[in-house]
Amino acid sequence: MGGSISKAMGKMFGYREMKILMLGLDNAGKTTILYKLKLNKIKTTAPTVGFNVETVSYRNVKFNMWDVGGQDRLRPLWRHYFPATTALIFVIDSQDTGRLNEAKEELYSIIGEKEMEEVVLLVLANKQDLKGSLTPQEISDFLQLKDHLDNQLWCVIGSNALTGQGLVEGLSWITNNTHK
Amino acid sequence: MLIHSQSMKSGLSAHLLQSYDEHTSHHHNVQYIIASEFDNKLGPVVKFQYPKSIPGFKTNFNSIGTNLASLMIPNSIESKPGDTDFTVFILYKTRKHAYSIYPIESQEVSEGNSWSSTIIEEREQELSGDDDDAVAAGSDEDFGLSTSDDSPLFFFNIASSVRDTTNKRGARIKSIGMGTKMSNFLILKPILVMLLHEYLRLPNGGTSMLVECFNMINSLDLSTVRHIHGDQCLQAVLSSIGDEDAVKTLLDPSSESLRKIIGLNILPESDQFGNKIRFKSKNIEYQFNIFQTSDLPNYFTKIPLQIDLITYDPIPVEIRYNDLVLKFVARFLQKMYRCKQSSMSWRLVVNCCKLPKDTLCQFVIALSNLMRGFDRRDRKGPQLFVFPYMDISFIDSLRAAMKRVKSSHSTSIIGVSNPIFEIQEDIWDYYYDLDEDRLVNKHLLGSEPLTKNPAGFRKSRPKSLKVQKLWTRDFGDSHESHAEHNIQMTSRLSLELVKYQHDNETIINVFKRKTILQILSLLKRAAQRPSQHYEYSLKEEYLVAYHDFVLFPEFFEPNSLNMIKLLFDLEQCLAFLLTNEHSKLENIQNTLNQILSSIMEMYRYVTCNVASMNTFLNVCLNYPPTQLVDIMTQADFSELDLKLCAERAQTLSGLSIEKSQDLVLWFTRDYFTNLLYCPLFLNDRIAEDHFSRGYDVPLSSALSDSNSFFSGTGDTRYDTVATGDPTMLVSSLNIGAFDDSLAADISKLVNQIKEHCIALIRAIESNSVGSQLLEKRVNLAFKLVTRHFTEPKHDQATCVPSHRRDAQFPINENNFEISPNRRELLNNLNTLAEAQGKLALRGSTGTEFSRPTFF
Repeated sequence: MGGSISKAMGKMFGYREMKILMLGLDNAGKTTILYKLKLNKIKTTAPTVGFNVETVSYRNVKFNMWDVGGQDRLRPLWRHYFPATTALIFVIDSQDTGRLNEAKEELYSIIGEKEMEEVVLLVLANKQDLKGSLTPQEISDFLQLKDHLDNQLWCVIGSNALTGQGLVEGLSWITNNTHK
Repeated sequence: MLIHSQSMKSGLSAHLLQSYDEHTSHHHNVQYIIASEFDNKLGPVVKFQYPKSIPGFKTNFNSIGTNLASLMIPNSIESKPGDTDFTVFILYKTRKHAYSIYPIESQEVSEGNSWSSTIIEEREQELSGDDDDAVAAGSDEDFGLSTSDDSPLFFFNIASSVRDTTNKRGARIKSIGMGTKMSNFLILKPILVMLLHEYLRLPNGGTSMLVECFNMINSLDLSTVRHIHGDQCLQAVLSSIGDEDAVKTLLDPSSESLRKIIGLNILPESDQFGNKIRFKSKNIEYQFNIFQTSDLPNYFTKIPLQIDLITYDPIPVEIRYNDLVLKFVARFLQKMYRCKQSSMSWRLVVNCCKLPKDTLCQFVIALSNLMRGFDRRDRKGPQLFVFPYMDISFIDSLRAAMKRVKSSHSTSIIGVSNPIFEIQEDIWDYYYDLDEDRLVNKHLLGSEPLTKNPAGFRKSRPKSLKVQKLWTRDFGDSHESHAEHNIQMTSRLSLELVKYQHDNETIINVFKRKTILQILSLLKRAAQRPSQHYEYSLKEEYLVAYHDFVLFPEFFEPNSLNMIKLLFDLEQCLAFLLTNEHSKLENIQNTLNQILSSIMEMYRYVTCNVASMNTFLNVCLNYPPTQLVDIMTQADFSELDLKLCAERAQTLSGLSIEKSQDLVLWFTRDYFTNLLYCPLFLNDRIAEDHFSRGYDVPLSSALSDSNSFFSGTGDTRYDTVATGDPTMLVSSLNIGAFDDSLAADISKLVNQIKEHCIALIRAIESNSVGSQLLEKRVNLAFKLVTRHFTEPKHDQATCVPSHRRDAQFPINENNFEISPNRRELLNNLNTLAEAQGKLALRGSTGTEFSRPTFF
């Protein structure tokens, strides 16, 4: 019922809503991205204890963006946020090459879940401003998404949460690649 | 045998000759102190626990679902650096040495289910662990726990985030929790605030401060306050008084009453270790003057521990019920009532992200307080599981625990701060968003599962007002459009209580009276049907009949029920005498016999012991206006004009309701004193009087000539007593053909009633609380009547001299007090004499109620 009304309202007013789940290892920059998109401000002074949820409007789409803490003991809780997700933004610290493999494992663990089979995947190769960070292409190659995600839309975009580089581009990609 | 004897002997000696150290290690006020922090890599972790790890949980707190740190460090604490917030969680004792976040009974633990096996495994690990040798030794005393004490452990936690430039992530997030069996754990709040402040100042370490604080709190011997709180009957009475002046007088340390109430010859000035104790109005204050600090700053010992002497709630709360709780209760009960859903078995998740977690926890606890009848130890009755704050990490274990709850009468209230719980529909029947004041009933949701909604959550609904309204209707309210719009009593009262911003004590007292009113209605219905129709206990029937979980278990206990019934019978009998003017003499005699029997039974009960007196007083203090008894189970209280009822009732009793006063005042008025004193006004010569005036003397005539209902003593001091309501009682005693022997019997009966009534009043006066209540609440006219009976009599056969109706008695605030919460009503009391005239007038035009009231 609620879904029907939502769809009807969407048709009437020409807007869409979608739930975006933003995950990634701790200190990847998820909360910084969220508040850069929401407030256009840098608002990160502490690790996320549980989660943050904000609504970000872009074009005629309302993104309900969920940013969940990425610490070791919080990761098993990510699955509770999976239901009703339209798109997954997986944020990677491009400079933290030592934990790239850990990030890759977590990513595959997420997209291997049945509830996440149909979501579109946006990988943000964050912290592109930092010295020694891997390029989006290098991150993409490392993740081997091309080899493993045949039936799922995915994209790797380089981003810098401090300047906002790549963020709108990412939302635009999600908008264009999800059902209207 | 010898070994046992010796150990028993030494055990006894140890208890008799306890040293300070022994006491603090054996009788903890606080059982545990734990510290957690948010690790930048791991997340929430327990860093320190003292004196030992909590039995039933892994020492390292690694696993999901048992990580207590996630209950101590709430969501979003990092977003407000410098602010503190509080959470509460409860650990239940499941078996010896084991605690669980879920109140699973011990036999269920042994059944080998997944959750219980987790506990057992942890237990085994603990037993084998070096850190837990004390557990392995199996000594309860090592933990300050008693095997016979299954009290839950309340963990009261404080958390805060502070900016720290030396920290890689820019902040330190820490929490301290204290586990105690004291349900009034809020008393620890000031200490926790100070302790966290000091603890956060140290980037690392600080555990010695925690230990010292733990020892400091346990350095107090709180046995005095435990003794006072432990007397449940006394607490029930004290909390029902609802009159701050009376309570202050009762608990005045300079008076004798406090000593009598707490059963001590002398008020202690210090505990057994020399810590100073000070009784202060309604509080008791403990000074930490013995404990010497080394790591803790000195000021910790300067601030006394303040404890309220009266426990108004099972778990004291700081929030006002009428701010959030009653609004919700009114709405929730209404939803439950309209949907005809069971009030005994439901699961409620309360989500709150915008308000502090402290408020959320207190909201949940306040709800559980109102449901105090849901005692989980009562296996036959409904069980209540309360989780003031729960994190998403516990959801799987919660789900598993819920599946294992076998009772069909189980209820749970879970406080959360995460809207993701809304899509976990299998764990709730009702979901309440405290931020948006939105209540969702799962059973009324549409056929489309919420999880399939691409928007995900209702939080994502459009902001447009019209759209919002549509959306809100979609999720619940629209489904009720066809439903009946009946409003049940509790909802109606809740709305009234919110409207006039009454305090928590008044709210609780109103609900107590409502409970008795509803019980009376049930008892009356039960009396009218065959006994084999009993399928439920009274409490269950109450829940089924009213869809109302707000109840007070003390009134369902047999003795209280009996007292309620006796008072109601007494009232009914007195009403009969008033209204059945043409009744046969035999009927009048039977009624008088019933009155006598009721009063005698009350007297017998109250003179048993102090506890029974307190039980009786508790019932008396909460005796409700009974005009609504007959319609309690069927009425739609949205239509019923309760205010009009109140006005009529008060006009009848000689008290007109003021425009500014609300229905609650009528509900919380004192009804028992008049009832208690009424029988003293019965006329023992009524048979002769009425015969002399003829059989068909109408009520109006009788009322207009009320002097005939009092036997003259020639003592004009008591003339004005005739202005009291009860004079009406005797007016109805119309006699048929005069029968000497019957008249003599009635005369004897009336005198017996008066004697026993006086005895009952004297018994109440002999009780500290009772005497204060009568002193404060009883009309001076009544007092004079009582004195008349106890002084040397001019004429034993007469009770009240009154030949002149026009005599007026000066009634002022000092001699005619009711509750100070309704102090404004005192101004009206001076109109009592005038109201008597109104009574007579109403009597002459006929009564307006089917069953009139005397009060």
